[in-house]
Amino acid sequence: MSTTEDKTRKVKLVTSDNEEFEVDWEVATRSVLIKHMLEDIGESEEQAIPLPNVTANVLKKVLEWCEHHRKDPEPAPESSDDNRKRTLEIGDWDAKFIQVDQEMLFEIILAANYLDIKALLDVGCKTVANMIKGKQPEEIRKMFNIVNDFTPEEEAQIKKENEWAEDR
Amino acid sequence: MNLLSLPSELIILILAYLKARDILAFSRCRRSTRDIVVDSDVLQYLMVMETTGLENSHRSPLQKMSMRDRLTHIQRKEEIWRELRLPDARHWTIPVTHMHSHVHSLSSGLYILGDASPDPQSSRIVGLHYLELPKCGHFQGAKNSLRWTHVALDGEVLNVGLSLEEDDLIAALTASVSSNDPNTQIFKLCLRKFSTWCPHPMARETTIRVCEYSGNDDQRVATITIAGHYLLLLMKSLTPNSLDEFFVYDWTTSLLLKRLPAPSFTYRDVSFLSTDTLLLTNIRENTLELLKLRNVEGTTSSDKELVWVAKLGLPPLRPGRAMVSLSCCTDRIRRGEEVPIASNLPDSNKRPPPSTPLLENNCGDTKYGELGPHCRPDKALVQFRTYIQAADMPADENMVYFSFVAHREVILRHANEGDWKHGVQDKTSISAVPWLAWGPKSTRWGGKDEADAAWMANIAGQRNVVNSGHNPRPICVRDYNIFSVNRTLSSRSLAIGGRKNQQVVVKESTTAHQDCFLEDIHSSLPYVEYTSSAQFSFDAVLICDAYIIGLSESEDGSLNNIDVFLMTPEDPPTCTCCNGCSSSRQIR
Repeated sequence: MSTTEDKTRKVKLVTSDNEEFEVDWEVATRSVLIKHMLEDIGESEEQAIPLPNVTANVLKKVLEWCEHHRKDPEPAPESSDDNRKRTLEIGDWDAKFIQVDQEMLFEIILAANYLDIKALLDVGCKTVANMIKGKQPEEIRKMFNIVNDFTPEEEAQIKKENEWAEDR
Repeated sequence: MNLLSLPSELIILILAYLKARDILAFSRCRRSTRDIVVDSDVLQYLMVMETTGLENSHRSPLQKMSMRDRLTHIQRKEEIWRELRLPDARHWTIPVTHMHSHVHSLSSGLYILGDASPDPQSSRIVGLHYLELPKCGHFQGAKNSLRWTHVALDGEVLNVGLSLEEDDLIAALTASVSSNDPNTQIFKLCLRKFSTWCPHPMARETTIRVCEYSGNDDQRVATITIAGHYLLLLMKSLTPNSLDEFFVYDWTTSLLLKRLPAPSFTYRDVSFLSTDTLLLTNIRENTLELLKLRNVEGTTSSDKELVWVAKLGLPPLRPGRAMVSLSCCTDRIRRGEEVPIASNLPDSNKRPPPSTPLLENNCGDTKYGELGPHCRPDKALVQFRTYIQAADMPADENMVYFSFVAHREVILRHANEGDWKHGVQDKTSISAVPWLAWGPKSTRWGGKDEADAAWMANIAGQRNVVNSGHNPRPICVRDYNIFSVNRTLSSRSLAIGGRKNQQVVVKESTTAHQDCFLEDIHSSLPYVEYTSSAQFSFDAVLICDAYIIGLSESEDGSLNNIDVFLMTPEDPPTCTCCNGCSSSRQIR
């Protein structure tokens, strides 16, 4: 659908808290959801796109990412999750971008999922995965404010059952 | 907003990036996190694949199944290897009726046995007999179709190399006497498609002239190994003061990438450890040499050079002792998934008529290959076997046999992280990692009891098979997967699921030096040994992929029978393989 006109076209987005953003077509269509909506409404470019699941402060952050990645090639078609390389590496810019508080991190993940921005969702998920990696349950609880509701006996039993998975 | 307020699909997406130990640590945080992990087929599947060391190729029939069915299939398959309930319905006995040689191969669902030369002194072969092994439990209805197929070779052949799963390739090394000089032998590689026996369409030249040797010295044997486009050929001389030569070809372009001559009795075997790392066994220096094929700097990617990256020392020998052989055996290296499978490419020379399907079953893109998941290349075992004798004794006299296994991953680590990981052209500048620095903790040794010498005891991923004791005896399979070891230890301490037929060995074992090595050899690679309840009287037992093969010899040492046990679940949830199995299959 992308034509030369698209490059100069502006897109209006409206957040759940009623803030309006005007961005380049190329930036907005990093989101597959927005891209499809634009295709649906066709040429009537005056129409603003409502994003009832995203607040302004989160969308601002998401658009910052889209702006930086506006020239990225289309992501390759999804390979089967089976042989996918489970690498946790994140690019330098993305790593800096995602240095936000946990609240915002999870909001970005939710928004990336809702807006269908696969690469941004990956960055968010990898960041959380890196926070869990190598930790003991008690450290994970502390990191994410998780309240333990196992009895000490249950905990000891589960610990024993899972010991085999320690590969060192 | 916190982690647990994300929908569980997103939590699963996050956890899917992590290893089993991290996923399980997360599951231990509270009941709700435990439920997320326990209820997720994706996470359970990923953890099973990681801890079994298995992977699925994109043409595995499992890829068509749901996550839950794949999970069930793999868990059932692992269980079959642990139970070792042999024999059962999936067992076949096939008599050997032809005069065979000791050239044999078991890979990609084929058992291949060379035809003996009419000259009893010659180790060369003139033809091949092969069996296509059954691929699923449904095969039992077609018991009669398990029979030998014969192909004639192009003259006298020293050995063959196969790459069936990927390229349907057989490479045969032929020897012929030069027409100019009756004392000169010419050695050539002939590249054919195994299924059609046509010249291989991917090879620019289907006959590669390798070398010629003059003189009456025809005491040569050869080893051929193929991975992707690389073909390794090791020509070994059996006479002193002659040459061993090692050749590396790109078989598609017939380019010789490396020719490495060495005095005879230097190199004895070669194997791929990964698609670009290979291992040469050196009996002159008593080392394992690790080499890499890398791009020549500043050239196109097709220019490759071979460089040394590490040497691993073996236990020092007593003065006056020498290894006469040192062979290594490991699972085939499969090309990376991102490279297109060659059989998908247009096959211009010899394409079957459009009405004839290329495949006789739906198992995948080529007709060869095992059903279902296979061991990840970096997780497989390597098995080494060596004979040692007094240096001045004639061969075959008073030889002492030793064998040991190691994880490919551990050997590769020395290639990728060692002091010479960037590679050198001159191997003398590399000093060997002393045996004691790497060996004892990474290997497990045995003698004649642990592996039969005459018939190559093969490897199936992280498992091998033990040939010890007197007949009749049970079949013993050892699993060197660290997770299997830990799980068995832990289930024992939990007093659940303990089995009578299994034994965990973690403590160090001592192999007597037998007047060959300077000192006794200590080794401590842990394993679990599983024993079948039934007893058998096989002369050798082999394993490969999803098969256990029992060989029965007659008194003169030739084979009488081959027994095949299929170690896959009886009814794969959505078995797509039986179309071909139940109907009689055309070989070519």
